Amino acid sequence: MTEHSEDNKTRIISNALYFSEVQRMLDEGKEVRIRIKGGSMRPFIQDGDSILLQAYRGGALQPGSNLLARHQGKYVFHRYVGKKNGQIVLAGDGNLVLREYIDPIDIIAVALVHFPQNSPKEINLNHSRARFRGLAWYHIRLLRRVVAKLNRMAQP
Amino acid sequence: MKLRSDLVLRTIGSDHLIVDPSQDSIDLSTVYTLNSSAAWLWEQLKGKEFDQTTIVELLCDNYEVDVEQAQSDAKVLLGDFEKQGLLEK
Repeated sequence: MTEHSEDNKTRIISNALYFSEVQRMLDEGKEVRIRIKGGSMRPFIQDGDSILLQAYRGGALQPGSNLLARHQGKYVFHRYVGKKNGQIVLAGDGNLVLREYIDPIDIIAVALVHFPQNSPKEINLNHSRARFRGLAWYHIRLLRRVVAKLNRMAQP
Repeated sequence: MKLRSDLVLRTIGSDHLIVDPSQDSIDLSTVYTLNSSAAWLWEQLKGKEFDQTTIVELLCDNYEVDVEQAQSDAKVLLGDFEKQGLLEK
């Protein structure tokens, strides 16, 4: 009758419903810990790692911070990499080309801490080192595309 | 035994989740889900002292199950509650 998400019996709850609950709790002023699904933030955040979120209530954003935001009716957890024409530009660390352009109002939360799945480590995501490392990784996308292409060509 | 009073049952759409809201933060990275009858039982048992017999009686009074089935369901449920740390120590 009960299921536990760490029990290899993970239940899928609709993203929209799940995030409306996350948002409700953030609105109550709580910090909320969620699990990351997918590899769009690799190599820094892996599928299954969790992060601690704090509601975004306007104000200055730190470049390189990790944001939970609404984008085209979906939810993304990506890095803030810059601004363009008054919009916020987000990019997944694991993505080579894709960027998301959102309005500040679409930002739901800023991530504070990263908890890798198989380690007791807690990483402060807003420390300048973590942010600059992420931004540097974004700015070498062209190089990463070349490497990815070479890797593909090298495969039989 | 008693259910942990610090846990909260939330219904999201058709899913029932047990969340652990500590003082200032809520862990939604590991959530317990209950089916609708377990969620109903959770509401009935909340704040009360109970044992397996309480659950069997609740099940028999409100669902069309025989005592044997209710006993086995109650045992599984209690085992799960205990394993997941949902009971007060």
